[in-house]
Amino acid sequence: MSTSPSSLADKDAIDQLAGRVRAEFPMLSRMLDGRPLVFMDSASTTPKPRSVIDAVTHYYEKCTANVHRGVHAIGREATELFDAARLEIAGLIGAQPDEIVFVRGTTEAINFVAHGLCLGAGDEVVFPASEHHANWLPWRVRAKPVPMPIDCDGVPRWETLPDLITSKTKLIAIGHVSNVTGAIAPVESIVEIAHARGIPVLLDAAQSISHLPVDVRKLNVDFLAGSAHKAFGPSGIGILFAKRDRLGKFPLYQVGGGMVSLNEDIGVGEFVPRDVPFRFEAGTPAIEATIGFGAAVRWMRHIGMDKIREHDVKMARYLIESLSQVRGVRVLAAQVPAEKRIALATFVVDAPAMTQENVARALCDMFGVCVSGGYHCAHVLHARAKLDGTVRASPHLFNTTAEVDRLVEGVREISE
Amino acid sequence: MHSTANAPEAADHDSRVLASIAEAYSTIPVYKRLGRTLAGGASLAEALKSQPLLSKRELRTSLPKHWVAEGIDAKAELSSGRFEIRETRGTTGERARILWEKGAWEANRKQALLLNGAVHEARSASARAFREAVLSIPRNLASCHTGDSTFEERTEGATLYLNMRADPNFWSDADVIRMLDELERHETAGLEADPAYLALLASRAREAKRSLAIRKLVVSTHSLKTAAFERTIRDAFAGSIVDFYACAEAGPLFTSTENGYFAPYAATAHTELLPAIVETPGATGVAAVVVTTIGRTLQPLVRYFVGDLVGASSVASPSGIPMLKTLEGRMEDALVRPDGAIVTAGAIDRALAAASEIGIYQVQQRGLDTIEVDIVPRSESSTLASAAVELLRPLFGVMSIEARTVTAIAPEAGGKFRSSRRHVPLNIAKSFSGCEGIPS
Repeated sequence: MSTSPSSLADKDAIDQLAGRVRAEFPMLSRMLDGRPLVFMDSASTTPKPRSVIDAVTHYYEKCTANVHRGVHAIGREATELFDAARLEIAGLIGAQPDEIVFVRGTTEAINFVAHGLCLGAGDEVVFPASEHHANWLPWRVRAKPVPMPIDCDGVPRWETLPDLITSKTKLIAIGHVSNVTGAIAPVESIVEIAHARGIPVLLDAAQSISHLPVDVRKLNVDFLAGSAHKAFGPSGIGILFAKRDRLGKFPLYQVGGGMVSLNEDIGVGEFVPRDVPFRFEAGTPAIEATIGFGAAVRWMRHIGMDKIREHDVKMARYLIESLSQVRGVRVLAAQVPAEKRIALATFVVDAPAMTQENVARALCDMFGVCVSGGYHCAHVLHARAKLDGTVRASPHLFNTTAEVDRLVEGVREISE
Repeated sequence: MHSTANAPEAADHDSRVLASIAEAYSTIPVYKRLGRTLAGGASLAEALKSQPLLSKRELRTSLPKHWVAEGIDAKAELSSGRFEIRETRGTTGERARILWEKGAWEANRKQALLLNGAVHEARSASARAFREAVLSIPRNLASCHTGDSTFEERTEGATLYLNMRADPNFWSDADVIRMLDELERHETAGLEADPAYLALLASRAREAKRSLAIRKLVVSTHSLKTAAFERTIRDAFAGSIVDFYACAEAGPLFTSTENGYFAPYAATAHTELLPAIVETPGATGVAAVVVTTIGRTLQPLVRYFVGDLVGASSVASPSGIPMLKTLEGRMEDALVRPDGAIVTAGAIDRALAAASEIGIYQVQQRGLDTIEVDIVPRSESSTLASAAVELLRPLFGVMSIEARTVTAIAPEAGGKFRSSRRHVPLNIAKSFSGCEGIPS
């Protein structure tokens, strides 16, 4: 572990906030094989605080009813909770509520954009080769993918962007935070380059909205995709933010109940969809998940996104420094400073005859530390970095430095 | 039983076991940490009785390097490829990592299978390398898979690994045809198979009007071969079916023989059978399996509680280890009645064997006095569920039994199908003799 004076100060700050919030997470009191659970897989999905669990169970216990349809009191209550969630979530990213379309998650949001832009086979989409499959395969299927080169640690070579843009470029799609390296993309400068050539930018914010303050107005992105489950909320719900003019041009995505303003199919043979965003939300939505998402955002905003980020920077520094000191461990993108990354470390452990998945399983079985092992849905990054899998530790604001120390102890034991 | 060069006499066997324990205790850090000692001069039975059981928890929660003798550089040996790590599958509570000398497991497997005459004959008759295929959980099943591999990539020496899917319920027609074609192309003499997987393949082969191109024999292993699986396999395969009982931690333990018994493979393991001290309806001689490895320098196990149940016979093998009559399934799959009686997976299967329309089933105990049965019928049947209830009634007495037909049974996350599952605790120490210290 780090012994530098700045880290000692950081350590206190990290543990103070962690100590304050961790009691709110029921799952964190679990034991694994007689050891306290150390959950460091928040980049896959975060544990849920009590307020989110309560919000979901409140809906089930007190006001289970459909939204925007119910004429009865219970339906009204459910609708109020649902609509309030949209406002809360819009507020998190500085958007207006009508710029938020509810979808199942980041993957659906990106696919929605890929559909909405009506791309052709010759249209090009530029994105870093380090991207998650969710921000790769939609472009592979609907357009011509133009992957941006990455360095040997999987960090995009952003300086190559201008050369990758052609007259056929229809979109630049970037992960705000890499799910493998944890590095933060220089969004503002990318947007500047793209907009100067009239090209919209999509931001995959799956890994960022629970770690960083995100303001779509300041970033000036055209689209933003995010999921609740990586931000303390339920799975099965996410958002697409799109600027009004962009969203207004999108063709209908799915049709059915709830998105219709007027159906005159029997008479004049047409129907009129509702305005955005409702025209894109056919069918009964994931009501309880959306309400839970709203509760999760409220919980994060109550702590304060600036405060969360402050904690995150300190944790990133502590985590990277600690792991980097273990012999036989290579931390990807360790050179990226804490201020330009989130608290996430992906690393390779020199453990002969063990795959990195084996290492991750061993950390769980022997030390009670839950991390990810494998390719993290970023196979191209691993192939280009010549890595046969990696281990990813992704703490969040409930993790203590003692837990990072436990991770490091486990990694050291395995590698030595 | 076919005699092999690896069938030691009892006295010789006992002294080898004692020497192995003494060696393990004097060299392996885990045993030193546990403070294990062995008094000299005692008989094997006395010596074993004085030693505590070793549970999977001790394996799971210690690193492989703690299981090699001091002075051996495990990392260097693993790097050189002389050692390998085998990881058992399962949930967090079941997984363990085991150190083996490279190739040792396979060599022992081959020897242990020779206890069966059909295997011996088939191998002897084969002028070239015995061509085997394996049908089970995919070998390289990662959480984030990296695509399909070719026939050549799945062939190692004379062994072909057939399956590439995590759950055979999702085998496409193309998957099935590929596997059937590859069995032919490989000129498969023997197929080692999880019987659940093979029954599903046999059933799909029948639908496709294809046969299983297996020239000699099937080795059934990994999970309990139910009567229903055997019936389905038999519809597509007429050769010998050999039951092979091994565990990833200790290696081969028992092989079925022509005389109807399971013979112990005593060359590398001493097996103790700790008898049930409660009623075991539908099964006789029920005992828990405890293993002490012999002559193993890497991760030697002393009185390792495997977690499996068997039906012991009164016939002893040359090593003194009793022959088995039956395999009764996992301890965690044995259901428990309110009166403390244990109903093993084997007993359940024998009870349901009369229902010939069952394709695959799973019996679950979620409450102390309730049993739920899911059945996938081989063909449409409106009476199968109620028939199953009546067949199970004698085993479960006053317990409530609910049965229904379903379209599929899911394997557990590790890929194994379980014919029964208990979700309530079983007090193992109070149910089996000498099992103190084993958690419920």
